[in-house]
Amino acid sequence: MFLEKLTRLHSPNDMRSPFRNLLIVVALAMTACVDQQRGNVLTAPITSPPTSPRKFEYPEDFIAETEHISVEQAAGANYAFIKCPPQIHGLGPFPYDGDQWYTRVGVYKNVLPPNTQNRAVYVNAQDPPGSRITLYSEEGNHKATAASIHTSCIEDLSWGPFEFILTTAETPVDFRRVPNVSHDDCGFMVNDPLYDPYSPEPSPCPSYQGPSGGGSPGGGPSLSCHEEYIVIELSDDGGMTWYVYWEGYAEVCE
Amino acid sequence: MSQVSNRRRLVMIALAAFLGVSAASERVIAQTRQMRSRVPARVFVTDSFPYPGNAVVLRRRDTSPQDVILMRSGAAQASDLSEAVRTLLEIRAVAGDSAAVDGMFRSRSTSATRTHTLLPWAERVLRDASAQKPDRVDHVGHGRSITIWLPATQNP
Repeated sequence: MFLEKLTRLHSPNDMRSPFRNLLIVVALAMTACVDQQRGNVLTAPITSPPTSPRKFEYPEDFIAETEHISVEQAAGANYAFIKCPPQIHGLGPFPYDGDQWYTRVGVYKNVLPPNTQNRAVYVNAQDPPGSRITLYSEEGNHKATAASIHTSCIEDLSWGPFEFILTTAETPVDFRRVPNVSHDDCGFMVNDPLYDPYSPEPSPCPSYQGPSGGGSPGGGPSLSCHEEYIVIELSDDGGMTWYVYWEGYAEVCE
Repeated sequence: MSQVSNRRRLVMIALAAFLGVSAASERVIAQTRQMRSRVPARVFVTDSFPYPGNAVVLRRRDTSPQDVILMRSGAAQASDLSEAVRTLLEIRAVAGDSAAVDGMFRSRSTSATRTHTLLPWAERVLRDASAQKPDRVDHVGHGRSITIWLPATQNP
């Protein structure tokens, strides 16, 4: 199975790769033990393969895979969903084509201020599994605009620290503010004295004139908005431990 | 005579077009409002409050009500409820009006300019909740509660 994979990975136009010969030699030397050890607990260290991840990038061979990588910008939030490869989405490990894979995301560009290296965390690992990542600057107080995500689909073979980066993709992501929505269609705000918290339906627009005398859509009060950097934390053990569920800029209107 | 007739015809056509557009606009507005009706949350006041502070926000995917603002009986103030409502609105704006994960949420701002607006109706709601008959909320416990309705977010 491994040799089949190797053949698929390296088509004749990959002969220019300096890693090809090393890869094949290593693979042939290891094939016997690989087949025996796949799926089992490794009891002895493997000395042949490199100890650090190796990257083999042949995008032309994996166009089909590349087509399935997508980063979608969810409306009003600065998280992204990533698919890599087909029908599989999310970060973290997943089984595909008989092997264990995982998706890694890195390299963010065009952040503010210049030369700031952004990083990503993925949170909300259960919904759906590992699919939501939050991007933020190292400083934690700068907004990333027109950033790009560099996505790698990595095959993590079970027999050693050997990684194939099958394909990479850079996808532009627009970071947007999360709008504060403490008002309804007619501009009724929760901090309005006329807001009825017991009414399941918004109050009718035409008859309402807010304390500010209109100015917002629907004739409600005009809104005074500003940006805040908000951190929302989640605890699933009754408040013992907390982790960041989302953070980013929000437009707060009062 | 024929000019008058044509003018009348044009007026009729314009009127019909205007009425048609108005009706369509009304439908769109009605649909929009229907989509953005308010979303409930339960304000739950209880003596059994094993958490720090006086109020926490709970979300449950498969249990009704999905959103519960849990408050410490006797100690929680209108300011605690106001802050909890604000936190819930932020969570809904980020994660949607329907709970996608179970858990307890809190929010904080790194902005020094964050204001803590007291909701005009918070004290009334807290008083009304405390005056309700004791009841039980699944997976939360016994206490007194009342349902409030908050604006729907753009993130259903």
